[in-house]
Amino acid sequence: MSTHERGLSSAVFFGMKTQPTRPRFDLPNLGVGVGLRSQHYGFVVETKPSVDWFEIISENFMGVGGRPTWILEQVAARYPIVMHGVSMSIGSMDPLDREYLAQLKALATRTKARWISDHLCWTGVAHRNLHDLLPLPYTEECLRHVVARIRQVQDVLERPLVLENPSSYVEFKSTSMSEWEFLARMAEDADCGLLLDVNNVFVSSFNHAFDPYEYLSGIPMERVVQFHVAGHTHKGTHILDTHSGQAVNEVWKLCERACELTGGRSALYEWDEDVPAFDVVALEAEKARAFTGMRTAHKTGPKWERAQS
Amino acid sequence: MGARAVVNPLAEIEHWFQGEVVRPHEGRSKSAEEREASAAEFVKPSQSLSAAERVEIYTDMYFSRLLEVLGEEYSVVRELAGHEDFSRLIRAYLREFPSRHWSLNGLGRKLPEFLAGKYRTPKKALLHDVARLECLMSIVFDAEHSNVLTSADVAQVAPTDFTSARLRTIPALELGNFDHAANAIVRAVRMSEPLPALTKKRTFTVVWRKEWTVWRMDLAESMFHVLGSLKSGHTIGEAIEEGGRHHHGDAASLQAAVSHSFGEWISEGLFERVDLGRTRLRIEPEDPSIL
Repeated sequence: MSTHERGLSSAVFFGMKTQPTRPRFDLPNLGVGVGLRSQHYGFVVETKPSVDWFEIISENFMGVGGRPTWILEQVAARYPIVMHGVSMSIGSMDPLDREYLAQLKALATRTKARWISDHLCWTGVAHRNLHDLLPLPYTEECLRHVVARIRQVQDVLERPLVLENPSSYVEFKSTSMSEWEFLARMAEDADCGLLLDVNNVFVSSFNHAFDPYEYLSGIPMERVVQFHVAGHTHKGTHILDTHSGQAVNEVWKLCERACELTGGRSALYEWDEDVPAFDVVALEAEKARAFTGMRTAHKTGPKWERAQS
Repeated sequence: MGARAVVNPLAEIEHWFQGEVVRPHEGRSKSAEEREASAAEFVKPSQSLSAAERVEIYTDMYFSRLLEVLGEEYSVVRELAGHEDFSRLIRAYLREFPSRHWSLNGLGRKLPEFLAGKYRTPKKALLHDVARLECLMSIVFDAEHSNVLTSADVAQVAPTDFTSARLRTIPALELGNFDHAANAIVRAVRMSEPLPALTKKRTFTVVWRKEWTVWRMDLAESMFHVLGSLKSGHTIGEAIEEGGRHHHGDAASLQAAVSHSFGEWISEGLFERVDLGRTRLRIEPEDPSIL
C-alpha cells in the first residue's frame, strides 16, 4: 500500500473529529462560489444565476477596458467578488512589482472584493514571467523571504493577503521542512490568511508521497479563509492540477475533513479546462455546500438595474 | 556520518529552474545525461520520475500554455501556417520577446513586428498581413469603452461649421492597410469557407468595436485615408482633402463616396464626439451612458 493510500485509510481508521477553530480574520463565509470565466460572461449577465459569489482572476481585469471590465461591473453590482491572482510571484527574488500591486488594490476597491488571494509560488526572475506557478524550496531562507514580502504586500493592500497552497511536481533537495510546516509558520509570521486548496493537497500528496490528512492536521485552520475544490488529470506517474472535470471522491473527503477542522468556510469550485456550460459547473460547486457550514444558498444580491441605453 | 545537507540559495534555485524551463524552447539543448546531472543537483527524484523528468513537466507546460494563448489570439495565422510551422514561429518569437509582464494580454502584440523582421517562414508576407489584422482586432477588443455619436448628434452641427469640425473616432477603432485581402482571408478561415486568392492585392480595413463585438470592414483607399485623417485629429475638410489625394475619380464621385461613408460610419458608431473649430464646443451624445 502506497503512502498515499495509507493516508486515506488512516483518516477512516482514526475517525478524527476536532473542535472547529475560530477564524483569525473577520471575513465573511460567503457560501459556495464559482469562478467567473469568459465562456460564461453572457450567461451570467443575462440570466443572473443563483450563485453565492464569484471569484475572478485578478489579472484578467487589470489594465483592460472593453467588455471584460463592463461584465465585471455588472457582476460586482449583484454578487460578492473575491479576487484570485496568479502573478504576484510572492516567492520570487525579483523585487515586488509596485505597479502591479497598485492596480491590484485599485481593482479591489472598484469591485469591493471581500479578500485578495494569490499562490505560494514564484512566476519568474530576471524580469521574466513564465506564467506558471513555479515551486519553492521550503527552507528557512525562503520562509524569511516570503514572510517579508507578504508583509510588504499587506502594507500596500492595507488588508491581509490570502495565499493558496500550491500543487507541485518538483521537490527540492534543499527543502528542510514539510510544506504544511512552511505554510503554518509563514501564515503565523506574516499574519496572513490561507486559501486551502484540497485538490492541490491531494495532487501534491500523490506527487510527493505524503499523507494528505497529515497535511491538513498541520495547517492552522483558524487562518483558512476559503477552500478551493477542483478536478485534476492523473498521468500515472504523477497528477497534474488541470482544474478539469469533476473532483474525485478522495478530494471531497479531504474537503469534508477540512470543514470539520474549520467549521466551514467559503468554498469555490475551479473548472478552467474544457469549461462546460455554467449550470454544469454550478452543480458541481453545489456539492461543496455541505462543507461551507451553510445550509442554504444566499438570496440573490441587489435588484438588477439595467443600464440606461 | 550523515549525508551532507544540500543548501542551494533561493536565488540560485530560481535562476537555474527558470533556465531549465525555457532552455529547450530557446534552442539551447542539453543531452539527456546533462539534463539529469543538472537536475540531480537541485531536485529529488520521485518514486516514478527522475529529477529531470519532474522538471520537464514544467518545461512542457510553459510552452504549451503560451502556444495555446497565442494560437487563440492568432487563430488565422495558425491555420494558414499549419501547426508545426506555427509552433516553430511562436518558439522563435518567444525567444526574442519573452513575457516580461504579469498579464498575458500583450504577449502577442509584437508578433507582426517579428514577422516583418529576419524570421524566415513560408508565406511570410501573407502571415505578416494576417497577423497585423488579428493584432488590430485584439487591440480593439481591449480598448476603452466610450460614448457613441448618433446621426441626431451630428445633425446639430451647422453646415457652415462642418469643414472645420473634428469628428473624433472612438478609442476602440483601428485602421490597417495590407498587401493581401487580409480581411477576406480572416473571414473565410473563421467561417470555414473556401479561401480567397492569396495573391497580392492592396486592401484597406477598419476594425472597430460596437456593442462589445469586434467588427471589420473593407474601405476604398480614399475613404481609408479620410477616416485615418479624422482619427489623427484633422478637421473634416482636411480629411476629405486627404481622401481626394487617393481618389481615382472626379469630384462628384468623391463627394458621393464621402456622403455614403460618413452616413455608414456614423450609423456603425465609429465616432464619439464632434469638436467644433475655434470655439472648442463639443457635441456629445445626448444621453451618454456606458452601454
